[in-house]
Amino acid sequence: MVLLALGAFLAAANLYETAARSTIPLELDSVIRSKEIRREKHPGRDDVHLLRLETGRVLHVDPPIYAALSLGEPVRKSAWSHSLSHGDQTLPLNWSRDFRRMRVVMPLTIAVFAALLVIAVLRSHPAEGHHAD
Amino acid sequence: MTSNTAAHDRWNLLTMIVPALAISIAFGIALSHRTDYLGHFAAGYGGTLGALAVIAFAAQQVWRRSALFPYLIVLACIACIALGALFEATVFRLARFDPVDFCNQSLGAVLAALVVLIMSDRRTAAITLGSAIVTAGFFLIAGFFFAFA
Repeated sequence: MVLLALGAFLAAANLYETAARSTIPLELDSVIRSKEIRREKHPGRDDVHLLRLETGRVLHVDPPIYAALSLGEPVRKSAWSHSLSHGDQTLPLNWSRDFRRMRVVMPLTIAVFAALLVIAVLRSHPAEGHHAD
Repeated sequence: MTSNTAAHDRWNLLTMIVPALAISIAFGIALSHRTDYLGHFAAGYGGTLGALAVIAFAAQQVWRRSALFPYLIVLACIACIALGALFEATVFRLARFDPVDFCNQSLGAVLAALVVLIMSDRRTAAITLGSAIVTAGFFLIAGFFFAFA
């Protein structure tokens, strides 16, 4: 059960992290102080887009959000809102492809874990009289 | 006795390969644009499977028939996850510590622990260490390939 709970926690963390990059779950009320793109293993495909806010908070955001926002712009939104106010404009927010696909892969992963846990429990408690050690 | 052992070996091999392959295929198809996610999952599975198989093999005489054996495997799995976090934060840290990479490799580690617990049940004669090491090596190499290729 510990392993299943750990797996569920990791899957939920995976979903939240990919969701947070859309900024949809986040509440924001600050000003963009700096923007930075850091290269990863596959430049152009898995670059890390970072926004540093006036509050000191650093956001890892999806590329379309990074591209739409400018240095010095105030950004404001409520948690779980699908629109982000920046300057005098409003940016509609969408879930990323990563998040939408993770919504499929993570439950499937946990289903496999649960099935393995059931097998482990059944095999560790063999029927009485059939598998005496 | 020999056919029982062979059946156990086949069961262990299928247990090591089928669930990991099924999840890997799901990653590969659904997240084909991010092969590094698949890579981290496979590497986490392979690395942890190898470590846990060695630990289980070494401890089986003392622990396998004890109720404490599963706790040893869970603790070893958590240690592997912590080691993975250390690697992700140091030698494999490129842009920044990526929580998604960490979660994916840790999910692989949890899967490895479940697989080792199934293989180490009371009816299994012995952990098939050789096939576990080969399977672990395969997933570890595949993981590095998909993470960096």
